[in-house]
Amino acid sequence: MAATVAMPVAVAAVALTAGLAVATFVKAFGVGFLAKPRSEAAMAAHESPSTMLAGMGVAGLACVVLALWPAGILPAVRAAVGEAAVSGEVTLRLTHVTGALSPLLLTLGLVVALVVVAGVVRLAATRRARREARLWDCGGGPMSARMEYTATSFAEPLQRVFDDVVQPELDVDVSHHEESRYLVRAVAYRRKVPDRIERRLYGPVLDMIAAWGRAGRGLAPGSVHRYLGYGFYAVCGLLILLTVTR
Amino acid sequence: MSALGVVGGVVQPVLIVAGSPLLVGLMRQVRARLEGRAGAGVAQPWRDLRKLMRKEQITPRGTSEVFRLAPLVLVATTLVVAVVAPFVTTDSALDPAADLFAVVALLALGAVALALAGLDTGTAFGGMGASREMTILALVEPTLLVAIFALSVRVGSTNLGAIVSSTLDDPARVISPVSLLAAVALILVIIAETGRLPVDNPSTHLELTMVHEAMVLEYAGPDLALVELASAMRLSVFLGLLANLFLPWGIAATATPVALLVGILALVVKVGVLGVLLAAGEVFVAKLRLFRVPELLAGSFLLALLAVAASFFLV
Amino acid sequence: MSESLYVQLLYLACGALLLTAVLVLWLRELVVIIRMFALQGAALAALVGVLAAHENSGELWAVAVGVLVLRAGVLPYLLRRTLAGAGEARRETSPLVNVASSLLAAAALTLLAYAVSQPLVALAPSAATQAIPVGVTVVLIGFFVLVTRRRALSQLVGFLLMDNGITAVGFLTTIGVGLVVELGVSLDVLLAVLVLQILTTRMRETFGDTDLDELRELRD
Repeated sequence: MAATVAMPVAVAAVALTAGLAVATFVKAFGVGFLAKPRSEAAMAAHESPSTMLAGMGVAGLACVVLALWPAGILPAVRAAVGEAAVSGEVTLRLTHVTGALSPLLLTLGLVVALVVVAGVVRLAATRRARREARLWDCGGGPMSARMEYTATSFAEPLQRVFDDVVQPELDVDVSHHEESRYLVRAVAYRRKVPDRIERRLYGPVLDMIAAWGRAGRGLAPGSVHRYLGYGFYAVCGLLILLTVTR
Repeated sequence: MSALGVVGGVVQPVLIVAGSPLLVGLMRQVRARLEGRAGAGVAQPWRDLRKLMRKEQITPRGTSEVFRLAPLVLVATTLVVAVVAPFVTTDSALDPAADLFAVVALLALGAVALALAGLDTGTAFGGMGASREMTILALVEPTLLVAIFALSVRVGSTNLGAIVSSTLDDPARVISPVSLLAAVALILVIIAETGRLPVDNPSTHLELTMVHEAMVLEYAGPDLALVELASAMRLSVFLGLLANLFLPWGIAATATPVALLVGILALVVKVGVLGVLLAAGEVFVAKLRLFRVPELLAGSFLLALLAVAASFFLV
Repeated sequence: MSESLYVQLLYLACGALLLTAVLVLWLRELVVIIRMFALQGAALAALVGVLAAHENSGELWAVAVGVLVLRAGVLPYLLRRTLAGAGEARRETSPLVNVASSLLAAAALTLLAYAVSQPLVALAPSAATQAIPVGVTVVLIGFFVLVTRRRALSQLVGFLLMDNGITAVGFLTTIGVGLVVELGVSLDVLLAVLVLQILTTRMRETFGDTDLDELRELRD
């Protein structure tokens, strides 16, 4: 019965995590790699030398290989789990339910579809060269990097959905011009998501241990006589307990 | 790979590419008539696409390859889904790709590509659209997975073709509570995912309410044509999946010309009826506030979860 | 009626019961909530009807008609009349627990209902008793509505939801608790609704609102 109750919960948890993972990926990649530079240092950024890229490249390549051919590490993992849940080389098949998934075929299909679509567009569209154009800025002149969505603003709607769970800390500072309260000089907006587990679970436990330690300090003032005395009282107490209970 | 699968793999994408702009045109026409307008005609989206294809290609300054590739990826992912999922035939050309998780992941990949393109433009609009789209997607994806998973539990397979053919074999399954709950959840999620009212208004260009339109604001010419075609295809794909998961009758189970013809006709009729119903429903509802949308999606997620629970409990 | 069709129809009615209960929790418009409640009454009547057709029992058919009249006709009518007199307060504006959270709570309640009703199902496993968790879920969701809603009317609906759930469990476990018992319970419910209706009207006359938290003032 426990399995029947746990299964829907597990499915829901996995599915929710998948959705959030997609949003996280877009935020990390989109804001980290595709945004305009927001500082002088970021604007002057340049690529690292190829020797440094090689290390990352190997790790990235390993990830790609694993994604396309996960069967490669199956023998190594199988030893740890005992019975394998999936089998197959190119197409992975689940052992207990009929389900099959082939990352390699899927990727190949996607690549073929990409090529086909690109070919059709090339045939159907005009052959004129691509022309550069201004971004749409509502007629307000070129948009600066400060007008762009930041990581904080990107995640804000999603954070608002899970407000009750993550309980973000919000901090808005509005500073005004000295001449008039109506003229705002700057608005600072900070939003932090503290780790609730850390605050609610680890915090109290650590506090308790610290309090226990402080109490223990009173018992150990450094006097040898006192330590010997503890031993003596303990032995005597134990003997008294034995005589009373026997 | 069976003959039926191969035929389906050829017929389905052609049908969906050719038919989806007509579906959008049909829905616009229904809306127009119900609102007392004449409407532009069912073939107007195709005329729009032709016009856009003839325009020159524009690259907004400051955008990278991500921006240029996104429309291609969007169309390609939808095309792969159109090839493999059971729309006209129960067999699939690429069987391992017709898996529930693969199809959902492919559709999500397209949405992710477009959101990244929105961020790539570096404008406030692009970021806003991407942010909102990902918020909705993060809540839609789980419901989609859970709802279809509920249907797959009793079949014992996550292959969409297997789910559809098992419903064909045992029609009484359609009226089970699992189907009922999953169907309601899926309908809500499909409305959200395809950007229809009350979650997103496909015809709005008002800053405060845009979701999908804000992301694609910088696209022009052939790129825009691809994005428009892809969103029409996604709508047909979702409606086709909905129709075949719950009302699979008419779908071709053998590779005879008659069965295929019936399959094509059944798909066109089913998706057409669903589209007309959706468009007629849209006339009567207003757009929901963005922060009410999660409530709607939480409800659909609950229904999907109840469907899974029911599929385990009411054995 | 063939066995498999009976089971499917029975479960479909149970699914409708569950769906309407969730929708009551989900929606805010009181008019729509009452409509959902009426639909649930119809689903309950359908459940009894399916059982009656399976058992081939005239008594059960009579009960089914009675349930339909009372729960899909009379009670919604009374509720609607109360609402018509309510004037402004036509929406459940701010429930004590927000809607998204209460929907998640409903998911948890479903699993709880399944876990607690397992021994009951094990007593006499059959198609009907398999559906007991659905009835228990409706009871729990009704209780949840009763606890978290502010408007007197939506609390009333919560109470009636509980009663619907209890009736459903009764029919699923025993295939009918007897016409007399059912009649007595129905009259009881009707009486409770009438009393609560008077209470609501009086409350509005005194406080100008039907927010039950206003009743706190009685203590001072």
